[in-house]
Amino acid sequence: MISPQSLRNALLDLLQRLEGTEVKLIIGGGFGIFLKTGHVRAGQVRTLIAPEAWPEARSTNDIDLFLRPELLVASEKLKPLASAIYALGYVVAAGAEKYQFVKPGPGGTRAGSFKIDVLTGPRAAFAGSGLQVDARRVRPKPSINLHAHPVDEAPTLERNLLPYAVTGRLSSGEAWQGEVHLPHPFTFAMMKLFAFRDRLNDPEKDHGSYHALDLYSIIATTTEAEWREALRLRDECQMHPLVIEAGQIVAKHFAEPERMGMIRLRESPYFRDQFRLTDFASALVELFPSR
Amino acid sequence: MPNFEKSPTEDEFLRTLKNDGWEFPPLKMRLRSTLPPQGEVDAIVECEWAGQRVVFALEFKASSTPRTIRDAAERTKAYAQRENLQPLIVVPFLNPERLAELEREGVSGIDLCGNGAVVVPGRLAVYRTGARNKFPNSAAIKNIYQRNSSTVARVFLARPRFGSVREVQAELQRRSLSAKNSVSLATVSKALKTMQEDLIIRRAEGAISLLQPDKLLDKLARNYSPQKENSPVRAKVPVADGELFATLLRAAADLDVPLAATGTASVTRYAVMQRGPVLSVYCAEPRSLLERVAGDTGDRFPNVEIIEAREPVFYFDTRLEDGFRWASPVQVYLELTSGDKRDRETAEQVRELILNNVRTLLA
Repeated sequence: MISPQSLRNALLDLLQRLEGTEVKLIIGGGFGIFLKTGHVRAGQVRTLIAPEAWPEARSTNDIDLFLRPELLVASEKLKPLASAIYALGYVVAAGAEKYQFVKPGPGGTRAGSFKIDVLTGPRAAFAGSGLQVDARRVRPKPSINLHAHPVDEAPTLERNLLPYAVTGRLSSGEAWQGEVHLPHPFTFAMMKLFAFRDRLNDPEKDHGSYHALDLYSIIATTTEAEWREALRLRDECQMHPLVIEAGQIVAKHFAEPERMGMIRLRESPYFRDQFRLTDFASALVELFPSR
Repeated sequence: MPNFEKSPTEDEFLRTLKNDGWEFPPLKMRLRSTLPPQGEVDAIVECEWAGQRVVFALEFKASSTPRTIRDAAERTKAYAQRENLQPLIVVPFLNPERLAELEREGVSGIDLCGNGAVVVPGRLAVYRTGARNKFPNSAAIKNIYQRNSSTVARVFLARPRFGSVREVQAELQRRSLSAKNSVSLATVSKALKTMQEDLIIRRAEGAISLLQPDKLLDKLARNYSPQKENSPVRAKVPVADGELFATLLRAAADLDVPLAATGTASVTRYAVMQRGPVLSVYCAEPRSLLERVAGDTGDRFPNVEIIEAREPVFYFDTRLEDGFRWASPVQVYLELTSGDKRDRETAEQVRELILNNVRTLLA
């Protein structure tokens, strides 16, 4: 039997190779939520929903690696990341070349494998940059063999990032510490609302129930300070078309207990009776009001 | 169609066919001759419809197991090709899956419930399905892929080849937490028979070996039921993180109750997945265990979740490693497949690991 490397080891391997460079990584997706949950739990700070009503934190074998748009515009700064990814044995994923990478497990198998998705902020952030940008990818110029998938639903990607110290061991066994940043709950929630809506009718993706669960985790683990910041971001971005659309998604799917988002949440195998659904729904409605 | 009260024997079926004929509307069948009992097929029948006449080599079987059907189909097809006839098998019940298999093999099949597929390329094609099984005993295989009897199937994914039934039982005993939990020799034999009929294992040349590990995993996954009788109990055990494993194991040993990590808590041993800090365990006596370790169920930061599980299957093939008793890769796989999309994605890693291991052991 193999003894699989953990996602934390894989991230530390990457951070070790980026030490001393200007590349700052933002970790989103399930792993970002996982790190955030652990961070808040360890700090024992007050959160919107008490820890006994949090879902179990989990993430699969993929790291959603968000890059600040400025890094793609000045692509020479990104070279160390591209080199690190290839040097660590990742190969491009078929069909998503240069922005999705896979590192096969021992013996070249899927068991014990890792995936990296390289993402960035919205396409609008590249207006006037001269880069080639479409819905699937942003291509840095000059080319460094690394693209990034733009996420329009993250207009606040770079706002109020949470610095997070990753500690642990490299795959070589050596102890290491590095730093990443985690998106603000407002940004995380925006991305999850759209992801949920896109999967709502997809039986292959559990009708988005895991996105609804993630959304609950994001709201539940929001600290008091983050909540205040979120309300400021809400006010600041209230006219942004995607923030308005997020409000519509909340109104349609999460505003009442019998709306589909709440039903999907209750359908998750990880749903527990202790969940504070009313608190969750009211926080979402306050953060993303219907306009 | 003759209306049998219970699944007929071969003699009863042939006698009815001879005396009354048989209809599988719109086809009418008539017995032309019976063949010697030890022959490759039972009878030659004539089938008529709209002026078409087709002669079939017919084989009747009183059982509807997949293996019986496959063997009968193979034999009848070989005979029919040699004698320039069409192959037809009759069994008590044919579900859509079996009918599709027969169709793929180019063998016609009819059951005694009204289902069937009679296909003679370029001449006739009748397909009917949906009738309920009137002879459930003939088709129902005792579900050996569920609960405790599934341990017989599971052991083949850890060790895919054995020399005898007793050897299988000994291995089951070795991988059980306690000898008293192991399954009887009779249950092992019964389970092996079903697995053989399902073409999951084969018994040949003094060996019992795994034939289709992927099919076995699918069967186990389809029949797996998570332990959900009582709500899990979450508590904070007041010990340092590094002492939790030993504290729990010691308490379980003192109480003489089984204890092991759940599959989801063991996943990181076999696949890349991050899970939270709460250790989820199965235990037969959660309340006694909690009392023993002074677990506080009101604490906001629990470090253990205890699921009441009394069946030995939850402790089968656990691995005592790194100071704790972890679930087997098969248990991990089964729990992940009954989880959400993220769990199911991770299950694929564990599945590949199990299958690779089996392939290595069989090589």
